[in-house]
Amino acid sequence: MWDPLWLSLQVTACATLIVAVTGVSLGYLLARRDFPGRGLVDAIASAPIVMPPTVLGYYLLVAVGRNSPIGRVWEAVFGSPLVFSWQGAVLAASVASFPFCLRSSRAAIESIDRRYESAGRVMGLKPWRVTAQITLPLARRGILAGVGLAFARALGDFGTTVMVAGNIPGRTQTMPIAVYDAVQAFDYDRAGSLAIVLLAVAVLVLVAVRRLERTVV
Amino acid sequence: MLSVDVVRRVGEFDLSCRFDTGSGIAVVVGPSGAGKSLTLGLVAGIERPDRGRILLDGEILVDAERDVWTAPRDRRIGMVFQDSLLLPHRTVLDNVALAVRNKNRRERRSEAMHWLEEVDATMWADRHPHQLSGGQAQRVALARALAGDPQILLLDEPFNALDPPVRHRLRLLLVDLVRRRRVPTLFVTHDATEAFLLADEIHVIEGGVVTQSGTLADVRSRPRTAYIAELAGSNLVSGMALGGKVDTGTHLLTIADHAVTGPVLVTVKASALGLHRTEPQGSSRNIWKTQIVLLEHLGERVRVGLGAPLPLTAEITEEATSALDLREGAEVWVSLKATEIGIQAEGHESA
Repeated sequence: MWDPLWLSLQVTACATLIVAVTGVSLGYLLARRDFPGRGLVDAIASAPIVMPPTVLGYYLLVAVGRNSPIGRVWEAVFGSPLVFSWQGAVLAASVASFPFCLRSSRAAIESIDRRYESAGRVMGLKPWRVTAQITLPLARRGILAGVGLAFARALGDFGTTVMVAGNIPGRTQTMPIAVYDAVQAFDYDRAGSLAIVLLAVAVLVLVAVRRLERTVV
Repeated sequence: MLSVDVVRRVGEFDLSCRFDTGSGIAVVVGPSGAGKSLTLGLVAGIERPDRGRILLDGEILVDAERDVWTAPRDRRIGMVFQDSLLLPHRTVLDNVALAVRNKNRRERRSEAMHWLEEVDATMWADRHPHQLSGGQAQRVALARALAGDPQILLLDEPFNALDPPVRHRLRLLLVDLVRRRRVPTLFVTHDATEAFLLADEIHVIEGGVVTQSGTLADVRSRPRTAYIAELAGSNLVSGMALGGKVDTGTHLLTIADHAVTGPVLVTVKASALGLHRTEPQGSSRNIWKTQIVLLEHLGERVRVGLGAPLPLTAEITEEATSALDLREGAEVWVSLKATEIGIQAEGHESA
């Protein structure tokens, strides 16, 4: 009962951290910078939203499997395969939840009055300070909402994780997979307890995000 | 000080703008859509010109032909926009401190406090921008613009969104500050009253082109386009209103509004002043005798400068001038209807 919970929290925390950094960065680039291949990047990054999770998981499995170039490099560096490991579960959860953070933070940054940033440049701020002290703080609500959404999506991921990381109790069996596993074994008591705990964590996080949104002036 | 000679196309709009400013307050005035804000944006470096160049104190900010470009952050410019654009997540003090250049954190904050003092805003230092009124926020924005020790201050219709009494107080504050600190200022507005109140020099811009540049007196006495004539056609006098009269200090004017009291700005259209050789009999509530100090022929129209007790400029037709046999030094009677006098309260409310 607690194994899957701790694993889920660990995987979700790692995935959320990765997604927060990469999603907000790419969201910023798409909202404020023009670069070649911008449309293509946008399309690919948003694709996981419309793809069935198992299909997404299948392509990830192909992309990072033991015989793929990425899989080989991973194995050569870390000594064990990426697939069917908890790191694989992090990858699956990250890719599946990435577009939610990306879209929300991009929309938030796009909606900022550009004159704030112009004023910052005229004031003499270096580009990174304009981004860090003007753009991102002004977009903080949308960014926070996006990270919250990504957390919820990562916590609840089933299809993508099960394809990439499998269902190994204690190693890759996250909460949603454990629920499914318990039902398969006709252990409805266990399934029920797991489900309630998962639901409680999700609700707690959503409440925390809402409160955080309100306290940030 | 500032020398602008630029061409810039935005969609269907062509800006082809050329003017030089001195060390005082230069006002760029023109109707909306004339290219005023774009011009400021070019000086600040928010926009790039297609052709031409901009020099500040002899230093090239941008030269499109020679591919010279100074980034906005290297320009040492202070700017105030129509809305304050204070960062909502920072306190007033931190907003101003952000604009102080090349200092450590403590010095930045004490410098910021000093500028808040200058605009009389220290009591709001720890507040957040959403706790300020529009006028208070613009005071802080002005402090922020000056905190960067700018070579020039750019103001883009900064007082437009404010109530008239607050607007007036902020104008006085601005004039006092930039005169005292000797900051050359470029002020953009579409408000003729504001332009004539603030300007040491005026640059009129219409349809993307500067149609006239000069001192206040130049532009007033020799307007080159219909728009400028309209702009310059109003006399501006300040006085104290009480019980349907305005005391200008040298003369008592009767006005239509009995409710106004306290300091006011009086506007009188040049065409509203009637001139007569003998004391007129009529319904005009204001009739006084004066001397002609200046006669200027502008085609069909003639500008007549009137002397004490109330130095105003009248405008009459060429025909009327010869019919009345007006010449400089001649005595005339002036008539002015109370209803033709525009009154704007300067007010005492704090900004």
